[in-house]
Amino acid sequence: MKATFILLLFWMCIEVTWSQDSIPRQEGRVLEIKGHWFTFQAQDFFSSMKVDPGMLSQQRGGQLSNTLTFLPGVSALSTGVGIAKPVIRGFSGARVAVIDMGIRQEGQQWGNDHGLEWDQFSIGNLTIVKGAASMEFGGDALGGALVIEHEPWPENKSSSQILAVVSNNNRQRGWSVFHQQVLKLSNGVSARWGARITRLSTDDYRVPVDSFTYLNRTLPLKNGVLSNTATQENHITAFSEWRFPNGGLRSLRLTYRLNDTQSGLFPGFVGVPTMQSVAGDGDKSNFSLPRVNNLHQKLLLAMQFKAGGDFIRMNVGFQRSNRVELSRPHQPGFVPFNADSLSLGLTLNTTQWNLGKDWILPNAWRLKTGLQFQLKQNEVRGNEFLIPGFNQHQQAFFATIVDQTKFQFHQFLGFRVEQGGIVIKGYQQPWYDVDQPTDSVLVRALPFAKRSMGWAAQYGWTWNGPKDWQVHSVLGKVYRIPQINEWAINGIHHGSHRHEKGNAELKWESGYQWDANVMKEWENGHAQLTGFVAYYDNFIFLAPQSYFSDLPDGGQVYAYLQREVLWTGGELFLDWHPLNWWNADISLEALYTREIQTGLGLPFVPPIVMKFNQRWSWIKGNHHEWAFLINMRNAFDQNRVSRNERATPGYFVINANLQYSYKWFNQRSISFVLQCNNVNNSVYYNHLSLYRPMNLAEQGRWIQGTMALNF
Amino acid sequence: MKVNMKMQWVVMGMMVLTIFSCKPEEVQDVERPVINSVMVNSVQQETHELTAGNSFVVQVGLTDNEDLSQLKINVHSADDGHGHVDLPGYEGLENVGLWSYSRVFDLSGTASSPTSTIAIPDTITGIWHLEIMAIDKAGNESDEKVYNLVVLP
Repeated sequence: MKATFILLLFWMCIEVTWSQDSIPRQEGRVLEIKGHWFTFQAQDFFSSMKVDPGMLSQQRGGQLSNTLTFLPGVSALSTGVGIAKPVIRGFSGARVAVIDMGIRQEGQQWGNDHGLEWDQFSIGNLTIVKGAASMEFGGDALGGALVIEHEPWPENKSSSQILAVVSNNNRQRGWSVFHQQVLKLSNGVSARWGARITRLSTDDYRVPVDSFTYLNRTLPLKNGVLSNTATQENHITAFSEWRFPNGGLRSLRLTYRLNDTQSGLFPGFVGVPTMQSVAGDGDKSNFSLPRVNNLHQKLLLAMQFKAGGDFIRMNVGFQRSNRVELSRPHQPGFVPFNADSLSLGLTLNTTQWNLGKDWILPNAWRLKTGLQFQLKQNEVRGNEFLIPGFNQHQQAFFATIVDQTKFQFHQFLGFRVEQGGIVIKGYQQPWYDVDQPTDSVLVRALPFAKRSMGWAAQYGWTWNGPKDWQVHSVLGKVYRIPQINEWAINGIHHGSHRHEKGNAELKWESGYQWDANVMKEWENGHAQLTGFVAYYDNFIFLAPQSYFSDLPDGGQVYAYLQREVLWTGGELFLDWHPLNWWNADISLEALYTREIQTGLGLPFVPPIVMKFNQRWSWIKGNHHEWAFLINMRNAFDQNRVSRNERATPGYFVINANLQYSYKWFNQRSISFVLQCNNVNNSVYYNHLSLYRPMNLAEQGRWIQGTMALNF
Repeated sequence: MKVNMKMQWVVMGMMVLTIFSCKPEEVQDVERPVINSVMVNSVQQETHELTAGNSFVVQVGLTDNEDLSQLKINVHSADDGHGHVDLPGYEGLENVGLWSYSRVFDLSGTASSPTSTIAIPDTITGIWHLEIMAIDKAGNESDEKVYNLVVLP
């Protein structure tokens, strides 16, 4: 099977390589199509969507990950309101990298219930990469990447923004203030500094049902409120940037980000839910136990040097992620007398250093090279245990070569080699008998060390055909280093009651991916068909075992395995703007996964989804602009599920949105957005929500208002 | 060029057909085992009133379409992580003392009815949960059953 697949891929590679000689060398175009909400870019090693910043402000969905879900191929893995992470073509977590100013975000992302630590307002430019972006971003970008850049330089000496948001469901309220100032220095040096502060709070989450069923019992939800699910977010971003017209150092940018979130956890998520616990304490905005506090800080430095005719880039980043889970001690045998409520404390320190150089070669070929180093150190504490402490190092080299000649046919080739090692600390948990320590301990993690090497390679081409046809194809081998949980988790993840077990024998995940886009552009619209096929010879996933946990409150053991897996799918997107004031687009996205040994699907795979957007806008004079937008989403039943995973029925949801903005001179404006989500008050389940196993429906009809003053 | 591109699509189609035409190596059992009955002292109901210091007998009846693997009986405090519990008729009953019980039975065949006798410490009172779970050889998990055990002095 594996040999057949590799042979076929190899054959296809040869076919593509041979084909270049027959290409007429005509003047080509940039392979880019501008849609209403985003710009498709089929560039070099991947196809991507550069998201229009206006979309982010007009379609806000509570969390950045949720905001992006109306883009084709993007969904979110969520836990209620405050916790969500992006899903690209069904990949998430360890397989979707978030790149901030060239540095990969590192937190406790190994848990599905651990959200992305990000200020949704602090995004200048956002590019979503669909498909492997492993060459430059590493194995963690095997499924895709979110590439985030700063706010652009202001056109005037300064720019500011005051933003406020309110919502009726879970009473979300918050504000964000941004200011940046340009400084003119001597000798042509320009500089700017800026800062954004954001605060967001929500009350308990509400759903359009008055009961839920879990563990074979139905429990009431008073007024549809999930008790103890309030959230609070505080974010700070501060940056400074200098640009130098002469000398070796040409630019320098220093950024500090702080993301502090507190989330209450629905008691049904921790332990067995009871009538009293789900009824709550009556206060919808407080945090009681259990809850999660997450503090993520990072300091990023980006520099660019000029050496001869070429540029050298250097990025340095230090990140510290501190996650604390608090609950009343509830694991009999593991809790000493007078134990505090710290059930789990995880502190991860990460240092990264990237160095890269672009070379311009004869015949307009561009060579890009890079070196990357990363050090991680994780410490654990608390009454419970999930993952052990560890020290990890990775170093990689990559080189990509791109044919930049402006001809009809372009091609590119990339190679990456990475070496990494990890030292995992053992963990022995003392056993208590009636509050007293005994001599016995339970070994939860054995110490071990791993050292390995992997490589990735990609070859691709783009073709600008006649009559505005464009084709882009990338083929490659990818790899991914297993995460700490895949190697060494050994404990109970709340909510699932299942005991998750790592596997010290795991090898680096590897696979072969093919990705293609066919695009056709008309005067008033365009169409895009994307297809991808991936075969992984040792895909890592969590699979149920035929035995129970030996932990007192553990259920079935789910262990990490490596199996042959097929992952394929595609997206069809049509964008039509018959008039200046009218734009319509529709997308259809589908995924198919298959564990080849058993023929079963993989867990947490999005269903087939159809998304339909219509936008009408009116501009009156030089100042007034109105817009009305309708977004419809139809998800089909997801019946292709993994073992023990529930099937999820389909749903249909309508969102509507009214916008008004008044513009003064010099880019000053004020805008209001009134957004009604789930207008049809549909009671539906999200297959990717961690609330799904508890039969908890998604939010009903809710209204959100946003005001933004830009000056 | 066109010929080569067409050839690629043909190859791609062949790849997809190759993969989709592969039959799984195992015929999959995806049917969950079923817990048909859980009796405490020969009584089947949601809440059981028990006395500290006594023993009680749990008998579980379960079936599977192919081959059962394990049954787990677990008792743990209902006071786990989210405040004390009130049940109608037992308002204000605080959990006193520590008690937990866990036992795993290895099973085989398509039907089984294991029995366990569980001793209650004489130092405890309050509300505990009795959880019953089963798995078959393929890893299919039954729907979990949870019952209240009210332990009185």
